[in-house]
Formats: sequence, structure tokens, C-alpha cells
Amino acid sequence: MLIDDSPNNPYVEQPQKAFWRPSICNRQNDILMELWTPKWPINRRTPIATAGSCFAQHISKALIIRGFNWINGEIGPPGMTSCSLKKYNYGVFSFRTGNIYSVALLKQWLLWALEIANPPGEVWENGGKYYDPFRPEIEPDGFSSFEELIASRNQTLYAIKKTLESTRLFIFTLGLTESWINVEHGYVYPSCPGTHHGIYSPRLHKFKNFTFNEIRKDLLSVMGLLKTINQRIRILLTVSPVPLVATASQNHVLVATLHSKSVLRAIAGELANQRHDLDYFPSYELIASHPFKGEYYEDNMRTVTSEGVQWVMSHFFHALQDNNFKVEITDSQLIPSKLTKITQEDILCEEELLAQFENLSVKS
Amino acid sequence: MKGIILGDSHVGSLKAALNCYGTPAGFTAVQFYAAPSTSLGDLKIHHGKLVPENDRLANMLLYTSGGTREIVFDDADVIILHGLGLSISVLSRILERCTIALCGRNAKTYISLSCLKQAIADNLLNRISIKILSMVREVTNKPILLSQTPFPDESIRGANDKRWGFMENEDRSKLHDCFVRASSTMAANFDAIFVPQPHSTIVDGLYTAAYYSKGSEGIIVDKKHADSDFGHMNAHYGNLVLHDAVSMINDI
Repeated sequence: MLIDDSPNNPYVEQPQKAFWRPSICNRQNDILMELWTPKWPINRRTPIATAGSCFAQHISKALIIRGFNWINGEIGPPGMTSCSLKKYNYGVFSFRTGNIYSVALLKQWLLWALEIANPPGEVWENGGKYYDPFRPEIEPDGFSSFEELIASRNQTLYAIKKTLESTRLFIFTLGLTESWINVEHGYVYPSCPGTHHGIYSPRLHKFKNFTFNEIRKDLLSVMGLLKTINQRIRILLTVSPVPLVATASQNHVLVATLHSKSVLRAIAGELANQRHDLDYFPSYELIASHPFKGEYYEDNMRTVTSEGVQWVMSHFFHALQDNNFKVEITDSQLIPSKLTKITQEDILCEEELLAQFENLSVKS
Repeated sequence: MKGIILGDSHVGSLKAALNCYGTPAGFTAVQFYAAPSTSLGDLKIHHGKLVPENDRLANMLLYTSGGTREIVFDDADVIILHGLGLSISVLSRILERCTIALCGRNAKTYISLSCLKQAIADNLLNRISIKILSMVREVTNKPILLSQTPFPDESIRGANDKRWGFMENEDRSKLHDCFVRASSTMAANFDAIFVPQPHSTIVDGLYTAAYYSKGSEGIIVDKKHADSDFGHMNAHYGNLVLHDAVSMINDI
């Protein structure tokens, strides 16, 4: 018979971060200590590429401001102002894909970049201008010809492969589970046809809310494709804390949002636990979880405030032990117009356009 | 109609045109203010006038105007800004790294025509023509014409000048179109009118016929350019520019 007066259970040996009260309620520091411990060293020399949903743009901007080695795989023309570069979507992500809201869309881009699959011939034409269904807002005025659209997309596909070849860390922000797909061929659109450009047809386009298993499978495919390009690449996933603008799931948008984010968060967490080359950074928790009481959202309870972005990125850089903030940016194209905090005005978000349709909806 | 013409050394062709052909129909008088290269950049606004910030510029204005150091627009009917870096050479920097060729060129980054136009406009912001234009517009509401620097003489193709290599590697008609559109937009931003190079002087999409370059002279009287100067034009060219300017003024 064991007789021992001292506590004897696994919790005794847990660090402070494992306990709610000292870590959350009574925390002594401005930030949450040990919130995230990177699996691998990441420093300012690490070649980093970014892609994903609107929130991902905050990450790329923060990396640039901080002087990290963010890869700009499609540098805009010399002499273009920062305002024009943004208008033409240069320097937003590491390649000019526009926002990539879903894993399925990322997988699609990689299949095209690796020439494992060919992009479909679908192009949207309106008023003599041509729009890329997979990058509908990439050019402010559309393309002047079909050939120009294809040449531009090919440039991006080339940039994807070239960029990832030299990337050591690929940061991808998971945005949505909801997508729209082509009925006949199954390819994925970044947004519903007819919202930006193009014409919606229920005959041609179908709503798809990707399931846990489907997304997990696609993410594993993505990992495989990335490794095909670059064996040494590592992936850091994060989930966007930005709620859905609108849902086509027939559910309440709050329910749909939590469903999407939960699925994405669960997949990211599970794969991060299983793989040595994949990690998860808790952007979502830092903004959307209840200890922070929504204080990092604007009044619309959707847009992350500048302070919220700073809050997230401060945890990121703290975890990297990046405490010497001396910016030495030599490439003028990487210098934002102001080296200050990132504002929502800087973020390009196609999903925001869906809000324009809310007044047309049937009132319940 | 009295015209005031501000410009760099390219004003020489306009001055030569007046000497050779006389004052063009529509003008009663033409007053020049010119200085080489970017020297007019040393002008500043002072009590509704443009005045030189240094003696060197003051002397050039005195010389080219025939006796005036300060630029006053009160009795002008139209102001023409000629040259001043509004040049197709702005494309050299852009096309060093980019291309509009649909099939790609030696790993250069493909950009759309719309993007090229925007890049041209942005690069032109750094040119002295825009600085002068904004200053002139600030002191007067009179009509302003923005006249471009001429395209290089077609003979430059045999000179192997790498600065103009981009003209052989891209679709020149598209480059021309983008340049004209960008310049027109820039001019319109200041409620001015862009005067493109006279169509009849252009060969092969983006070069000036050699005829218009022979015997070119600068703003210093009786000082002709060398035959190897492929940038400056002669009186025949200047005459066509002035006639186009008059047509545009009449259309206002």
C-alpha cells in the first residue's frame, strides 16, 4: 500500500501556462507567456512566404515592417508608388493570387503551378475587359484581352513555384470552409461568381462547404505538393479570426462562422500535433476567444483593429525572441508608405464585397 | 494669342521653327523660358510668379527670354511646357525588369498594359515636367499644354545604345499607346492637355524619322548638335509641334 502525503498526479508537473488562472486571469505580463513555442528556429534570415485569407495580409505587412526576410515573388514595376502597387496587388502576398480563402483553392493553385493540372479556360468578360475567375480583383481595370489575362496568370504560376523553391517557411492563413465550385469540372472559385465579376448560374456553380475530412485530405495534398517543390519547406498555419461576411449554408452567420473556424482550427491543430514540418500559431485564439472580450474587433465585431493585429504579432515576434527591432529594409518596394501600425485600409478583402448584398436579402 | 513656352534644351527645335517659319498662325507672340536638362527645377513660386533660385538659372532665363528673369503669366493666353523629361525614356527603367510580351522575355516579369500605364504615370511623377506643371497651375488658371520630349531619332538603332534597347524588345505601338495614355492622364490631373509627338514624324511606332533630327540645335543660338545626337530635333519638327499645339488650343 502506497502512503504518500504529497500530491501525485500529472498536473503537479505542468508548467504555469497549463493553468487558466495564472495564465489568463491573473497574468502578470502584457502578453501571454509561452502561448506559442515555435517548432523550429525562425529568424530574420528565414525566407518566408505568405498566402491566405485577408488576415494573412496583416502578417506579411508585419514581417516587412519588422525587417524579416519576406519573399516578394512578384515584384511590381520599378518606380511604381506604394499606392499603385497595392492597387495592382503587388506586395500583398508572396505571389499575386489574391486572397486564398480555402485549402482547396491553395491546392488548386499548386497543381497549376506544378503543371500537374491545367487551369480551365473559363474567363469572364464584361464591357471589353477580361477578368480572371480565380483572381477577379487582381487588376483594378481588368485585362485588355484574354491573352493578357492568361499571360498574367502564367506569370503568377511561375512566381508560385519559384517563390516556394526558396521558401523555408510558408505561412498560410486558413479563412473559410465555404466555397463555390464549378459544377461540371469541380474547380474552386475564390468567391461566388457574380459577386465581383462574372455571372452566377445555379447550373454552372454550386455551393460547397468543405468538411473536416475533405479539408484535412486537401491539406495533406498541399503538404505533398509543397514538398515536391521544396523538400525543406515548413508550414505555419494560422486561422483567421475574421468572421464570415455572409454564409450560403442556410445557417445563421454566427453558427456558420463558428463551424468554419472550428473545423479549420481542429484540422490545423491535429496536423500540427502529427507532423514535424507543420506548426500552428494561435492568431484566432488571441483575437476571438472570450478572455479578450471582443476588444480587438471594431464596432462591426468583424474587422480586427490595428491594436489587435499588433497584439497578435507581438506574440509572434516574442515567441521568436526577436527583441532587437531595428529595421533595415533595402528594397524600396518593401517599404510601406508609412512605417507605422497596419491599418484596415491597407487590407484588400474580396469577401467584404458580400456585405453589399445584405440589404437585398429577404428579411426574416 | 500670346504663348509662353517653358522647357529644356528641346525647346531649341521650337525656337528654330520660329526663326525658320515665323510665328505660327494663331500666335501673335511667343515668349521662351528655357534652361538645359533639369535646371528649370530651380524655379520657385514667389508672389504669383516663377522665379529662379540661383544665378545660373536666372542667366539662362534672361538669355532665352530676351531680357526677363522672372516668369509672369498674366498676359499669356496659353502656356506650353515642352520636353522637361516627359520622355519615352521613362520606360527604360520599367522594362529593364518587366515585359509586356505575352510570351515572356528572358525571365522578365510580365505586366499588363494597364499596369504599365500606371507605372509610366508613377515614374513621370519624378520628372521635372510634372513639378513645373504643378507650379504653373498653382499660379495660373490659363490653358496649359504639356508637350513631350521627342522620341529618339531612328538612326539610334545603329548606335547600339543600350539605353534604348527596350524599344527593340517590346511591341512599340503598345508602348506608344501606354505612354500617351499615361501622359494624358498626368496632364489631366492638373487640368492640362497633353500634346503627343506629331504623328507624321514617327516611324516604326516609337522612333522619330531621321529627317527631323538633322541639323538640330539647342537653346543656345547658332549652336548645333553633333550628328551623333539622336535626341534633339530641328526646326521642321518644332514647326509641326507648334501647329499641333495651335490646333489643340483652338479645340479648347
